[in-house]
Amino acid sequence: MFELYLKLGFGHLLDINAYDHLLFIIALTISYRPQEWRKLLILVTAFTIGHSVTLALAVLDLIQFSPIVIEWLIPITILLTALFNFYRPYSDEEPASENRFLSESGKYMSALFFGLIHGMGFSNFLRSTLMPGEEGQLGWQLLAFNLGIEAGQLVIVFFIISINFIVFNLLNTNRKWWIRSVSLGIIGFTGWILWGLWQG
Amino acid sequence: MILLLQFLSLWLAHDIHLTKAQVEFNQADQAVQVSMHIFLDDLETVIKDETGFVDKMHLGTEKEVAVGDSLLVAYLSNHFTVTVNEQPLVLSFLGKENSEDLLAVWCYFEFPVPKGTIAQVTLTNDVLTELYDDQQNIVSLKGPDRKMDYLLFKKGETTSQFTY
Repeated sequence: MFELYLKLGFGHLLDINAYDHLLFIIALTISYRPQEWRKLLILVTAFTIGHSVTLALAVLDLIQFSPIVIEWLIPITILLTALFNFYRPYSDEEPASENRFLSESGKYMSALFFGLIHGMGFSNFLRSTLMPGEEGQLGWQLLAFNLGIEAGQLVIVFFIISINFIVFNLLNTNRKWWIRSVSLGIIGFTGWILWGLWQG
Repeated sequence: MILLLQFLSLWLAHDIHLTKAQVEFNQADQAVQVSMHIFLDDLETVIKDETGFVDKMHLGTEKEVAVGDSLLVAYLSNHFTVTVNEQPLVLSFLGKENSEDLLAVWCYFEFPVPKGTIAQVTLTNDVLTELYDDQQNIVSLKGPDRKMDYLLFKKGETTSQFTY
């Protein structure tokens, strides 16, 4: 049972057909240089705390929300995160404006907050897998599923760090250009997700 | 009210490509009993794809076509198979009922098992895997040894074997 839910969590994050969470993590992490992997892990941890909290609360029926609203909010979180990269493409440079929201701590707070929303999205999937009679196992299912998601996250982060290593450190590509191009691509894909939702 | 729920639920139909089933070797009834949860819209699509049935089947509603159940049974027989000691078992359909949210149906069926010791079991579950690349089919299995196994079937991994 534990193994099944580990697999379900891992597969849910890395699912090419359900790529919204994937896009979010890429948008969140693309601006970091490989050398900044520690800052990156702290950022991803903020996202993790956010989604773990609402995933648990939702699955335990302690919070309720409209699944449709979450469906629409998740692409919004991706858009905002990708747009953030346009205002502050360099993770080690202070933004031009004094706006606190655009600072590094602002980014952590948004990762935490957006995590809350993604967690609710995850709970929709997790709930759909539950079967009658297994209520006593919910704690384990939740734990395993969450761990699977974290494992999937780590894979994506490792992938991004590796890509950025090639792009920044080896190929010496212009950082602003790379971060903005990827962010633009993400905005494009997100537009497509929103279009699909609109079409119903 | 039902109409509103159906409309809402169609709109809510998040693309979760999943079936879940509880499978149990019931010693007393000498049968492998299955309860399987499948989304209605997926069933409509896949049965039409496979049989060429043109009209809407309206499965799970008052408008359900007369051949609805037989089409469903045919599909299930082809895509959920149980073999015991290398002998394929025959599916016997017991009925179905709508899920609480009206998006899916619980299908109840069983496979009578011939008497004797069960040494080997093969389960194949490729329900909907041809329709969606990311289809996942969860099965909780209570084997003849009364132990629980939790299985995940997907495209390319549609068979599980057990020896007892």
